[in-house]
Parts: sequence; structure tokens; C-alpha cells
Amino acid sequence: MLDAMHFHPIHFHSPMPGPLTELKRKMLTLPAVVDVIEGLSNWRLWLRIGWMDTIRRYRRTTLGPFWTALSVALFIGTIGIMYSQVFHQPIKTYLPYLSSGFVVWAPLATYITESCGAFFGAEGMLKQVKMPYSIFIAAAVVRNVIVFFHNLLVFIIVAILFGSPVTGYTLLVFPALFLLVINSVWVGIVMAVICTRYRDMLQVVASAIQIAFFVTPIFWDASQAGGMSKVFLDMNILYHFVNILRAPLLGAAPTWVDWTAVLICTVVGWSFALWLFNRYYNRIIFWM
Amino acid sequence: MAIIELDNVGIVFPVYGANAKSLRQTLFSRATGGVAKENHGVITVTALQNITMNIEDGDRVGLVGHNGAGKSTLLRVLARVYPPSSGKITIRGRISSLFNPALGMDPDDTGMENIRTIGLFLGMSPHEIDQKIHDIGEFTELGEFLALPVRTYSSGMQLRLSFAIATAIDPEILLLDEGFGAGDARFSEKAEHRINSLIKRTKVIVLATHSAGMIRSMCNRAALMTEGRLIAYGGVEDILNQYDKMNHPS
Repeated sequence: MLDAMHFHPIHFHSPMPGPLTELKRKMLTLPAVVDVIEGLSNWRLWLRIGWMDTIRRYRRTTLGPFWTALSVALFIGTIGIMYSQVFHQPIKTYLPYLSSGFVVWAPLATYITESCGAFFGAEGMLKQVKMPYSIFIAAAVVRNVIVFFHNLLVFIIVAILFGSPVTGYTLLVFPALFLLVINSVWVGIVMAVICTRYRDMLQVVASAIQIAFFVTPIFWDASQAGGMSKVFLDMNILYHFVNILRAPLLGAAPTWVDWTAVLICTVVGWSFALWLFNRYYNRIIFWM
Repeated sequence: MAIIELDNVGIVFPVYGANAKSLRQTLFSRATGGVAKENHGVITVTALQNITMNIEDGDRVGLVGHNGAGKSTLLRVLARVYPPSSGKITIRGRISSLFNPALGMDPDDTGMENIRTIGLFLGMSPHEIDQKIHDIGEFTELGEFLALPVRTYSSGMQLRLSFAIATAIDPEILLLDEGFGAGDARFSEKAEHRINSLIKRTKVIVLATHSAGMIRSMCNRAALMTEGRLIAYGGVEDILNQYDKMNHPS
């Protein structure tokens, strides 16, 4: 943060200047790269913003963020009982399946919609003090990771009730969560940049997320899809993102297709986000 | 060492959200001095043009000019909030900008919580905040109110709190907008004392105001702006004379 106040370029020293160090040096002169590095290293600030947002929700209501957990529980309860009948699935396996998917999906969907307003929500601040935009993205991530842990409680209760297995694969929850968080940041940057310029996109994103819920196997199983819909499913990146966290929650390993898709998406997504962010970096403030 | 160098700096705003057609009619039916232009269907407004000035350690610069002359825009350029559309800007030194005192204040958080959050926003380290939190609390005279949500405060109390936080910083370059006022009379005297001490420990100050009195008491240089241009930069009395002539042409 303090460094952001100074106006000198970041110098990179290396005894052997090769093509790679040259690339690194070039990258560090890009405003978007500097923004992300400075923003993410100011963890005190984004942790505090995210944390205070959560505390504030607690303050005015007795249940605070547990309200979202409660509505998640209600949703899982009703949909679970209903669709286990519709799909002719035993409730013993269907309910853990549904809840593991939905506790991942709900904060993810909320985050994507929230990140659209991350920049113009901080307009007052950004127009007075030069600070990295990425701070406000990171704060939105923190807020929704906290919500995820609240919702996780619902899944844990369901898992205990129906004896969902805990195995060695359960530990994969941690790398999966890490990958989800890393990807959330670039998704947030892309959403925020586009939605700050085109405010209509907010509505578009909101409806896209609603549709995504139905085309992604959250309350139905991937094996129920066949033919063309199977191809469509493999191309649905959200499916792989949900899967890498859902499978370990259910004590299973995500498939290699899931891991590969997520890793490719991480690289491609970050590259695109940095390109977009850098291209419009100097204009964002004038869009507010 | 604090230095600001502006070399031919210009700022061009795109105007979105306005109905381009009706805006076009309004803008071009009047003489706006060529401020508004249309580029590929996007209306743009030139807020600043060809600003060249050097500010160094010890300079206390007062910006004068009519409403809309570009004073606040220039302050935002100096705060590095607005990147220049043209020209070059070099700034060395830790900057603090006091434009809106209520910046970052959340009514649902307690006074103490707001001090910590805003402190971080303004670039203070947690250690720095710990050192200053007592002094900030003292100045506000809020006592036990600091443990209550800010929404329970009177407007005077809120102003005291935000003023105390914003003036606790130790910048090298201080940017002040005239909107950054202070409340009731008793508070004002204390506030004046506090802001004077902030000014004393700051190397460079740029202040935008309409008040000749404020410029005379706080500045050693002045700059006159009109229609986004810097038309004169020099000694306080000389610039204030020119500004006076501009207001009362005879």
C-alpha cells in the first residue's frame, strides 16, 4: 500500500539477463501486474474489509451469515426430498450429493455476481486515494470464502446424518479450495472491469448464473446426461470447478479431466484477465 | 524528498450514461469553448489541458479558479487517481489526499473499528495505527462513544471522528480540497490547530480553495486555473491580484 503511493517503477536485478528474466522485467512494468501484486500483498486490508463485512451481517441480525446457511439447509432439505423421488434416487446418497454440490455452488454464484460491482462499489475510495483495484476483488473473495465455511456446516450435518465417508481423498479439499480461490480472483477482475464499463452486464451475469445452475450438475447427476449434453457438460468449466471440491467432500477423488480443465482454466483465465485489466487499466477510473 | 512534475498533462473524460443525442444538442447549441467533443460516438470532455508545473519540497501551493476550472480534477491527478490522458507526470513522496472527510466510514461499525479500517485504507501500518489510536480518540472527545456504532453519533461527532483519522497521517505530499471543512466553532479552533500541525510536518501541500484568506495564511505560492488550463503560477499576492481582476474586470 505504501509502495503504491510512490511512483518509481519496480526494478528487477538479475546477474544473467535471459529471455525469461526479460519477460519478468517487462511483466513488472505492466500496471495491471503491479496492481495485482501490490493489491494481493496488502492482505491486512482485504482481510479486514472481508471480515468487517461479515461481522456487520452478524451485528444487525441474530443469525448473521447463518441465515444464508439456514436458507441453504432449507433448500437442500426440500429439493433433496423432492428430487430423490423424481430421480428415483435413495435419499441416503442423494442428499449428501446435493448438499456437497450446493454448498460449493451457492457462494461461487454469489461471488460472481458480487464481483461485478467490486470497483464501483468502492468508487468513493478509489476517487480519493490511489490504491490497487485488486484489493476490492480479494475482499469479495474473503467474504464468500467465509460464507462457504458457514454453509459447509450444513453439509457436515448432512454427511454425519447419512454416514458420508471420510477418506484420504477428503484432504483434497484443501488444494481444491486453493484452486477455486486463485481462479475467483481472475474471474472477479474480468467481471469487475466489464461491468464497470457496461452496467447492463450486471443483469446479464445474474441471469447467466441462474441458467448455469440448471445446466451444471448440482441437483442432478452427470451420469443422467447423455449424447450431446455429455459433450456440453465436459465443456462446462463450472462443472469441473464444482467437482474438484465436491468429490473430496464426498470422500472421492476428482477425475483427471476435472483437474486438467481447472489447471488450464487457471492459466488461460489469468492470462486473459491480466491482458484485459492491463489494456483498460487507465480508463477504469473514468468509467465510474 | 517530495517532488511533483507535470509536463503538458491533459485529462479527457468520456461521458457515459447521458443520452448522446440530447447531450450533443445541448452541448453544441451553446458555446462551451470547445470543451466537449465527440469521438466515434463517445462524448468526451476535456477537463485539463497542457498543465505544466513543478512543485518541490517546501512549496505550499494554493489553487484558485472558478467552479469547474479543474482544481479538483488537478488534485485527483496529483493523487494519482486520474492517470493523465496526455503528457507526463512524475511524483516522488508519500501522498495523502483529504477531499472527503467521511471517506470509508461505515455507520454500522464502532468508532474504534472505523479508525482501524480507515487507517489501513489511508496506508497506515497496524503498528502506526496502534501508536496513533490514543491520540485520535483523545482529539475526538468521544470517550465511550468510540465503542458504539457510528450511526448513533451526531453529525458533529461523526465529523470529528473522520477529521481526526484523516489528519493523523504523516504524508510528504498533502492534497487538500476546500470541501474538507470542519464543523461547529469550538471544534473548528481545535481542528485548525490540528490541521496546522499536519501542514507543518508535510513537505509539499497543494490546496484548492475559493478563499483568498486561506491561501494567504497557508500558502507561499499560488496557481490560477480557468477552463482546465493553468494560466498563471507564481507568488501568492500576484496570483490573487490576477484572480481578482478576472472576477472584476474594469
